[in-house]
Amino acid sequence: MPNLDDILSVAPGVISRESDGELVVVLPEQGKFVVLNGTGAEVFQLLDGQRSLSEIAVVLSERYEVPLEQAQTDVLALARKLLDRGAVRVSSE
Amino acid sequence: MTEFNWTFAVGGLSLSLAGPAAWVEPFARAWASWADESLGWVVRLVQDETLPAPQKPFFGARPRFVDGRCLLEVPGFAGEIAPEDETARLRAHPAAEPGDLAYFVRTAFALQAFDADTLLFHAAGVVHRDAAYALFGHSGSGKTTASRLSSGKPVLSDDLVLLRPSVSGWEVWATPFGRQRASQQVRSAPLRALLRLVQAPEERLEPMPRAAALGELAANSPVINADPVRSAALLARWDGVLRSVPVYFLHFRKSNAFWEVIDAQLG
Repeated sequence: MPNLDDILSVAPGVISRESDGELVVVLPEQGKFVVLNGTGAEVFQLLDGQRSLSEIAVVLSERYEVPLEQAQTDVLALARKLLDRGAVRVSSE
Repeated sequence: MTEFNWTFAVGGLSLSLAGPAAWVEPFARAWASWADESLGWVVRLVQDETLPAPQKPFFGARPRFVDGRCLLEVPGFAGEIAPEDETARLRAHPAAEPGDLAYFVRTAFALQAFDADTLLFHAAGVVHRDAAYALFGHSGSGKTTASRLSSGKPVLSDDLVLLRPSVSGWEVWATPFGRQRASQQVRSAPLRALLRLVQAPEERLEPMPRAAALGELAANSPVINADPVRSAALLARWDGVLRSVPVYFLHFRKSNAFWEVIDAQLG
């Protein structure tokens, strides 16, 4: 279960491609994929192994003018989904 | 032990099998109509009694990519495909089944096809009114069923087809890899549409979002979707296909009435 202090990065071998405003994330090791919509795609691209989930939530909160708490909830939910699928990994805590 | 060499070609791509007659001759018999004499990749099959007896079918081996080579290793089998050298070599216990050997040949062919700018695609290919429809979906989605329901129409394959670019667009080519025998008269046709199978109580076509289609098509690209090096190019290639042909969900029952829906919307 990720927390807001976690720093996530894209798992090795995972690739992505934008298509019609959505991001297709392919997990070669599993032969599976995840499709992310606009906001999800932005979060995925911010998972650069440098920023914490908390910092990413701040970016989204400011960019979309949504309450920080809402942005944190959304970022954590997406992080959980991506960790479950093996698309990202925790770099450090 | 008698050695035997035999070459076949799919969509203009040749692949030569070399190995014990007992292992190669069954391919020559089963795939006789695919025989060819061109030079192409070489797949060498080697019996190795020092390997442990197979515990499971080779089909369960996941391709692993190391230093540009594709490795398939499970007890009883040690396969290595070297795309740069255009060669592949499988050492297998003598108890290996023909299906195990065919799996390795198919894996080598998937890499050969991709490196020749084509795509081996987990889909059934059915020709209707001189155009090919590629029916895809997860295992059990109905590829074989839909092929069997398409009576009177040439079936290019019920499991794996080759997509090849041409000056006028993408073509679907038959392969010998399916369970159902491919048409001997019709070996290719221009690709008209990609149809994602959905078993349903009625027949209808529904446009499929392109991002979801891209993901599913990549997931249905055997071997290549397991290669971190080729995966980006795989997505780009499928993106190119999706820019030239439409993709739909095909909701269908166990009847051939879905062709009427296809005619009404795409005919």
